[in-house]
Amino acid sequence: MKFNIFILMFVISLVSGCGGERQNDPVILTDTTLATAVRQVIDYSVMPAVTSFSSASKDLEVSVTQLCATPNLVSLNVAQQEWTDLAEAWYHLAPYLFGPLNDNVVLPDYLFIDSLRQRGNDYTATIRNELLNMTNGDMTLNAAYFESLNFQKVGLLALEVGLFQTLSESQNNNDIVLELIDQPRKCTAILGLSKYLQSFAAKFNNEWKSNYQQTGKPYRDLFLAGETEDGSEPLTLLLTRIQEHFEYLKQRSVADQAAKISGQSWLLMNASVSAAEQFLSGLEGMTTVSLADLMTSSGSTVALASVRDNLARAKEAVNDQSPTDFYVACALLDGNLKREIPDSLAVQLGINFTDGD
Amino acid sequence: MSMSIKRRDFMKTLGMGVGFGFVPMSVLHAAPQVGSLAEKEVWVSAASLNNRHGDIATQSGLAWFDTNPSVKASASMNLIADFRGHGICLNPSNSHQALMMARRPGMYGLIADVNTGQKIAEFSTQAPYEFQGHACYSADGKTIFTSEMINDITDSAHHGQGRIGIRDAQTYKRIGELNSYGIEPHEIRLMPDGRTLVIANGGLCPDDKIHKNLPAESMQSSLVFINSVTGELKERCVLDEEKASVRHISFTEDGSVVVALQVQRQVLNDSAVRPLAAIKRLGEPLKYLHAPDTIWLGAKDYMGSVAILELDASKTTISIAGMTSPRGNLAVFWDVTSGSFLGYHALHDVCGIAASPKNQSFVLTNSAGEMRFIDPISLQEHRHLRQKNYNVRWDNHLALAVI
Repeated sequence: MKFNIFILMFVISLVSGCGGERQNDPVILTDTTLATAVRQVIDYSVMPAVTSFSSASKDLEVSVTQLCATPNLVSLNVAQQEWTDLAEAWYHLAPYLFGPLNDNVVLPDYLFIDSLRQRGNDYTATIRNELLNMTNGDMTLNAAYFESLNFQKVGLLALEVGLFQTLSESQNNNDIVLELIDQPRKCTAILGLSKYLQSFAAKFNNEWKSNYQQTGKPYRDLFLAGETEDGSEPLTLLLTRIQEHFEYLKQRSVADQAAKISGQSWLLMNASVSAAEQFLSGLEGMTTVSLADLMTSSGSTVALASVRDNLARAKEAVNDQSPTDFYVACALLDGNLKREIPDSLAVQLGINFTDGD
Repeated sequence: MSMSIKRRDFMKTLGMGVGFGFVPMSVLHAAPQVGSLAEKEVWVSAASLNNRHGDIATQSGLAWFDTNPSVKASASMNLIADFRGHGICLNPSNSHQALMMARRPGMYGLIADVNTGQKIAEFSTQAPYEFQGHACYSADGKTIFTSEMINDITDSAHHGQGRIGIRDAQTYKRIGELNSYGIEPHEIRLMPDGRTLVIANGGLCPDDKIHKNLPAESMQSSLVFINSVTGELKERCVLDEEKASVRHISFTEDGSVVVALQVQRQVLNDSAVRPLAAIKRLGEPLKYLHAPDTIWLGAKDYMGSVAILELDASKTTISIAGMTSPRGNLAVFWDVTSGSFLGYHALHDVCGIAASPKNQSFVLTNSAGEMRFIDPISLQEHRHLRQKNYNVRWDNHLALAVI
C-alpha cells in the first residue's frame, strides 16, 4: 500500500512538473509564451480593472443613496471618496479602450463615462446647466430621463460637478450639504447619474465576463481567441490602445483637464501609469510570463530599459505634479508602445498604419 | 464589426418611398464594367511578401488572386520587385496588364501580366523627376500618365512642382509631360469622358516632409482637372482647410469625384475635428462629406484609399463611396448622391479598397493578408467570401482586373 502511494505521488509530481508555467522556468519568446503573456495581461490586469470599476460604481451608487437619505458632512465625504475611487479605477481601465468599452465607433460607451476622452473638451458648463435644469425642473428624474441625456451631460464629470460643488460653484462642503438638504431634486439627479454610470460599468463587466453582444460568450474568451472587433491580433490591439491612451493624455493635456474640481488629477494620472507598468511587468506573485520577460529573452534589454526609464519618469512627474514633465514622459511612452515594445516582441502593428501614404 | 444606418433611413436618403420598387441586391444588375460571366475578377495590389514561414515580410512585390471563393487564397500569385510598390492601374486595352508604381518618392514602374504571372517591363524616372506613387492609362491604352514631382532644391523656381509624365505604353519611354497645376501630385485618374485627367495635388513640398514639425506654410493642396491631350487646365478646386492634403480619388460614371483627405495635424495649432472626405460634383465646388465627429476622430486625420461602387436599382443608379483609414482601422461609407454617411466597417490596418461589381461588394484588404467583402447596402460582411493569405501583407491600394 505504501509502495502504491509512493508510485502515485511520484506520478503526480511528474505530471505536475510537465505542464503550466512556473516562476523559475526560463522564458523564451515564442508564439506560445507570447499568447501566455497576453492571457495573463487580460486575466491579471484587464479583468481586475473591469471588476474594480464595476465595484467602485456600485459603491458610489450606495454612498449617494445614503447621502440623499441623510445629507450631512460624513455622508458627503464618503460619497466624494467613492467618486475618487471610481475615477481612479476608470483611469486604470481606460488604457484598455476596446471590446465592450468601445464597440461602436459612432457613439462608444466610454464617452458616457468620460466625455473628456472624445476630444479633450471640458463640458463642465453644460453639466452645470443640466444639473440646474434637473434641480429646478419638474420632469420625472427616472432611468428613462437619464438615458435620454447625451454623453456630454453624464458620467464622471457630471458626478464630480454634483458632488464637489454647489450649483453656484461653491466648493465648501457645508454649502454642498445645505444645498442637498434644501434642494433634494439635486440629490435625486446625482443618484440618477450614478445609477446610469453604474449601468455602463455593469455592462462592461457582464460583456467581459459572460456575454458579449449577445454571443453567449465572454469577451475575454473571444479576445484571447483572436476574435477582436476589427480583426486585430490581441497583442496588437492591446499595444495600440495603450499607446493611444498615452497619446491622449499628452495631446489633450489631461493632467490639467481631468478632475479639476475634486483636485484629484494626479491620482488619476498615476493610475494610468500603474496600469502601463502592470501591462509590461505583470502582477507580482501571479504573472509567470510578462511582456518584459519576453523582451529580455529576445535580447531587447536596451529597449526594455528605455520603457522602464520612461515609466519611472512618468511616476516622478506625477509625484512632482509637473504637467510638462508628465507630457514629455507620455510622449516617450507613446513612442515606446509604437516602436520598442512591438519591435522587441516581433509584433507587426501594420505596415499601412505605420507608414501609409 | 459593422455599423450602418437603418435600411429605411437609407432608402429615404435615396428618395425611395416604402412602396418604391427597390430591387433586392441579389437580383441587381452588375455595373457595366463586367461583361460575360466567363470573365473573372482578379485583385491586384502592391504587397510585402512573407518568407516561407509566413511570419516575416522579406520582399516587396506585386500580388494578385481571383475571387472565386472555392479557390481561396491558394490561387494567389506574386512577383518580386526591387522596390516597394504603391498604386496599381490596369491597361484598358489589355486588362491582363497591371502597372504598379513605386511608393513615393519612387524611381520605378513595373508592368506584369496577371494571367501568366510574367513581368513584362520595368521603367524608371530620372532626377530631378520623382514618381509619386500613382499612374493611369489613356482610354486607348497607348499612353501611360504618371504622377511626378520635380525634387531639386537648387532650382527654387521648379522645386516641388507637379508634373504628369507621358509615356508610350509600348516602349515605356517618356515622350512628354503636362503641368499638374499644383505641388506633389499623388493619385491621378482618367475621367469617364476619356480625355480629362483628374489630379490630386497633395500639396506637400519635399522640405516640409523632411521637417514635418515646421509650419507647412507652402502647403497648397488642390484637385485639378486637365485636358490629357492639350494639358489645358479645366478646373482647379481647393478646400478651405489648407492643411488637408487631397491625395486619393475615385469617381462615378456621371463624373462626381470623391476625394480622400489626409490632415497634416502636426502643423495645426488646434485639435478641432477636420473632415477627411470631400466630393466634387459637376458645376459645384469641392465640398466636404458629412460624418459624425467620432468617425473623423476615429480615422485619425487619415484616409488612405477610396473606391466607388455603382449599382443599378430599377430606374436609378446607387453610387456608394468607401474610404479606408488604416490608422483608425476603419472603412467608412457614403451615399454619393446625397452625401449621406452610411456607416463603417472595422478592420485592422485596412487600406486597400476596391469595388467588385461581380460580387456586388466592396473589397477590403489589410496588412495581415486579409480580404473582406462588404455588402454596400447593409454594410455587413459576406463572411463566406473572407480570405486570408498568410504569405502577403497587402499594401495601400487594391485594383480590380477583369480577365
